[in-house]
Amino acid sequence: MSRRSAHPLLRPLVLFGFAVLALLLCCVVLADWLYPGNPWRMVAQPNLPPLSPGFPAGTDMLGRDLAAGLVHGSRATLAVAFSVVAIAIGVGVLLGLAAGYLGGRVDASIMLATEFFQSIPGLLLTIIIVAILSATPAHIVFSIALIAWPPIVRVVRAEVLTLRALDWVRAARVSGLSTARIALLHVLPNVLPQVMVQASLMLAGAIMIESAISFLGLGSRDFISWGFLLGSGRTSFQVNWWLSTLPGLAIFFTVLAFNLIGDGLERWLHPKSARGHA
Amino acid sequence: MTRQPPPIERVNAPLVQIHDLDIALPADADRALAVEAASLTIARGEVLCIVGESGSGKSVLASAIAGLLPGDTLRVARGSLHFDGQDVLAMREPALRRLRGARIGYVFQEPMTALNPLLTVGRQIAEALTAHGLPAAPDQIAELLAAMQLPEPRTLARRYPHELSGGQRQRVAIAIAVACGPELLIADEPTTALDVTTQAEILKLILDLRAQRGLSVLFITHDFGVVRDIADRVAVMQHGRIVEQGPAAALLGQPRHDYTRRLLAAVPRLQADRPAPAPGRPVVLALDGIEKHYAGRRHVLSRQRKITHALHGVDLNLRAGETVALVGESGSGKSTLGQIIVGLLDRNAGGFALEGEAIHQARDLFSPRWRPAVQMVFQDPQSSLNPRHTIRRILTEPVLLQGVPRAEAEARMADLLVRVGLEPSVADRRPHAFSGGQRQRIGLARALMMRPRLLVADEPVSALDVSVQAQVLQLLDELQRELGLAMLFITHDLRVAAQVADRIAVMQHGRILEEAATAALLRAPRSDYTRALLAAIPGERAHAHAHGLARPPASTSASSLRIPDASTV
Repeated sequence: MSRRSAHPLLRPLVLFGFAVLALLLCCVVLADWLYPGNPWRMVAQPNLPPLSPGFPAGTDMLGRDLAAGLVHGSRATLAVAFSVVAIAIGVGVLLGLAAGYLGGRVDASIMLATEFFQSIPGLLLTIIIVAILSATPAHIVFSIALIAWPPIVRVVRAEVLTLRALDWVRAARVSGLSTARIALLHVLPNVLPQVMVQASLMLAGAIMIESAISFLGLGSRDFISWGFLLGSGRTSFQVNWWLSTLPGLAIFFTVLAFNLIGDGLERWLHPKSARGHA
Repeated sequence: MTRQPPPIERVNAPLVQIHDLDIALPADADRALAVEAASLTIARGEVLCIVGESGSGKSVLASAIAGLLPGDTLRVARGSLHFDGQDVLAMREPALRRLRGARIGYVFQEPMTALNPLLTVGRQIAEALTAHGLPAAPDQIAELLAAMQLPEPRTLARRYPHELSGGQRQRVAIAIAVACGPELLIADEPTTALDVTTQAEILKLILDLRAQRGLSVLFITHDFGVVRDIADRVAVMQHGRIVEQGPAAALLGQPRHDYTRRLLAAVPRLQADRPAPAPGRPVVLALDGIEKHYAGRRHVLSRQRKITHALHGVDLNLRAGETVALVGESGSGKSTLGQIIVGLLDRNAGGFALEGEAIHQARDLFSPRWRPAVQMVFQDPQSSLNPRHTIRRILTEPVLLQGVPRAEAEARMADLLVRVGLEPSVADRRPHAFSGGQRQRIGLARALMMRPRLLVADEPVSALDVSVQAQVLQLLDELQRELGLAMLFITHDLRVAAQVADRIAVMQHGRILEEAATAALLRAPRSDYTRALLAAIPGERAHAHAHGLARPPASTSASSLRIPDASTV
């Protein structure tokens, strides 16, 4: 219960992370209200520099409003990132729990599969899958999730192996609780803090990969995304530097924010402070 | 290693002088000062014991002498601390480094973690010597190891810490501490993690070193038995204050402070004073030739797996209403046997019958019929309760799943919480709100919720302070009698066993060497090993004659001096 200095989630850097996240959520929620209509529309003169009246982020060579693209792009980017994390956590936690708690052959086969996926260069696998399948949002999410789950399995398995040796797990067995009950209702809640930390870091990773795919022009054209804006502005960097710089900064700050939040969570949930010794 | 003799006028002055020392804890701790108004002297060549329970500030005081206080959390707020006339508090880190090692040696509690696993024993000693500018010839290191009464010092210097036993590691740690010929040896619970026979040898080694080298020793312990064996003077600490200090004989004979009296009264006595249970009770547990072995890894070149035998044909009977203590040192197989009885491990061979019915495999014990009948109390109160669940859930979940109605489960819980000395209103708190002793009571209540007929208690008090230990033991004893339980009490401490058990079974190397009624076993042990165990109990040597207890012939005292065979490591 000791509060040696400020609460770990109230440190300035973590607060900055939360502020960026809050801003992003505003963009996601208010996109249609701030910039109604299709962000691909041509609305003004081409090549307006940033801070032009009415167009704070300027326009591109077709006269599309970059600010509208950025705000709407946050939707696609975050939607992909959160979907990836949800799938990867679901799969990773279940497999990690099974591997760690059941041990033996189950453990061996799950770890073999995990190592198989870890031994393939992740981004390459994602690009190949997206290139082979059509670039729908579902396929993009699937292909990123495919490389995102192995670290979760490892973290959960390691935690479960430590917990399984503790007396309270043996006590639960001796009181006659079923294996599934002990694993899901007793062990799992004790692992979740670690998973939360992993999830926030994975969000950052997923945003990076999604941006990379869109940058390479393999992404979905149905939705505007930061990676696409970055990639399409790249060719005219000499003339319109802001077209690739501003989406790049958006990606940079978002990834940074999730990393800072992840660090904050890790400090907060660190076993020493979590067990509540005086 | 020669040192200029101190000037004449300093010889009679105390080596360490502490006056009115306050050490502040961080602002958010449960009390303001870790050590409060401590005044203490250590004379040259004397053994001073600081006794206290966990959190009493005894280790903090000792680290202050060696300038080892972590400056960011603990700082000296007031008072003075002099070592051989030098002001330790005014010293900066380089001066402190010359002080530590060269003039103050430090031995820590845990021999497993105090040595670097990647360096040989010889290297680590050499490092201690060269750090203070002393030569570190192999001969010197061997001589030092020989002085620690370690066998084959030359070969030993080339071994790694994991190849040594706990006692040998602690001897190496002491060798490092005394390598540079310090004047003060600070030993922070150096024997707490060791078996009782090893403990006796280490204590003797420390006393021998004192005699040979004129060392002063500051010995920190919570065990009054150890104090009785080695102390010249004793200081008792409670909540950061030294409540009483004085010559050992006077303090142990006529303690003046209440707290000292309470601590002394809580030390378990080696005497059997339980009334015998009525004869003719039914047998609850019958074990016949239980075997357990583990197959090791197969060697690269050999066909056969190396098999480690944990249990070699153990027979044991337990009747209703009877407590049998299973006593042995670490590695004797006592915990393995306990786990087989509750079904956490499967046995390889042997007969196992509960109330006359055969249990074929561990899985049988998990049937709805037997699971409630056999329950367990675990050792470590820190890890035996799920930190995320409330006490209510911990106690009632298993019985609810067995189909007991909620009202009845709640009633049982309220009843048991009162019986173990807790308010029923604590049920909605989580484990971290309780002290170690209270958690152990909750663990006991959890086991009793199932209304077991056989209770296995695996070292239930070994992680507790002595005064708390006494309360928990008494509670276990009362409940066992009231409920007519059969109890298997696993412990490494014969004193504890003597207090709770009707019969004692002594285990060594996976066999029961001797089994007898408690009084008979203490009066006339039949095996040499039991005699060695009895003789090694700290603080009992002085009493042994008075109580007419058996003493071992000198040649049979158990020895951990053997180096493991090269073939087994």
